[in-house]
Amino acid sequence: MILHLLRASPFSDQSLCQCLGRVTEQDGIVLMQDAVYALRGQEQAWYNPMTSVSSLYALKEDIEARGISAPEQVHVIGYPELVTLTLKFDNVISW
Amino acid sequence: MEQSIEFNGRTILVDKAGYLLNNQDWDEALALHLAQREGIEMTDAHWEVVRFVRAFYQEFNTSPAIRALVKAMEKTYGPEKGNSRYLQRLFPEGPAKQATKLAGLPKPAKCL
Amino acid sequence: MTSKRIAIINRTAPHGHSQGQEALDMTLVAGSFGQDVGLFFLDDGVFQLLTGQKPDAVLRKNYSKTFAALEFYDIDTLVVCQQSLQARGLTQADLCIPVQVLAPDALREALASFNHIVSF
Repeated sequence: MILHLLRASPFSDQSLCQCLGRVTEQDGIVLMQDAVYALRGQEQAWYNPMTSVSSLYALKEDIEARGISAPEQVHVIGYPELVTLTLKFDNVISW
Repeated sequence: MEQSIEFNGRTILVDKAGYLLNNQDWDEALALHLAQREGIEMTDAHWEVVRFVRAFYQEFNTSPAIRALVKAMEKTYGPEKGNSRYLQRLFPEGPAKQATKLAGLPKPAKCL
Repeated sequence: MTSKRIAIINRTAPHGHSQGQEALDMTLVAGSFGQDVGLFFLDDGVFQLLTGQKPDAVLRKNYSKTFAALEFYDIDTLVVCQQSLQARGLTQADLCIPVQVLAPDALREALASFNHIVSF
């Protein structure tokens, strides 16, 4: 059970694609910093694989800062919840 | 380097050129005090420019440099006030520099 | 002597890095000195222009408000890459200022008319 922290825009960085190739069903993904731009990826091949991850989170502060909105299936969280998540999962990987 | 001005029992932080570090510290009484330090006697014409640069900052989140100040004044008030000679008469040491200082704003970026 | 034309290209998203603020500062300064400046937005750079940014949430300055002041710096060449917009599900309506949206070929042509090109 791994929590994957993504921080780079998937439009100019491969981390999200590489991460999606390695997630299992128990894993979680957190979109933070420029990775929240992934939520604008409806036109992209990685969008459906990403949104079908049931534990998909996005950091509220980073979404608001960038003028992005999150679709319903994405859990929008703040910093306290992020800390809770890192404790809940066995491991954390920063991509 | 941080410096400060004592004013009406308050300590106001300014940078080394005398620009307020927090524009929320600003009020009109403080503007009069800052003007005095610059040797400027505030008239209605001065206030108009000071309020104008504050509104500019609030709308665009940046202090106008001289060229932009002239253009923006011209758009709002017409060419009589939107010209550098008019502004230079009001603020002899540089309209953008002095008006933004009296308005409690940061110095215009890379203003020479 | 005619002044050289300067193109400034934004290729990165705002707030994660400082390139966007730097590109804008350079644009304002060049504009203040009467240079002929064109501002281009490609790839993730198109996110610079998104409406509704509230970067106070991550303790950054909301410099996207400054784009609307570019007219006072005589900067009216604002070009956005159509392909980059489309790839991000965006249209002109999502942007905070009116811009010229150009297809890659037309954009290359527009860039070729500049003497200096600086990319952020």
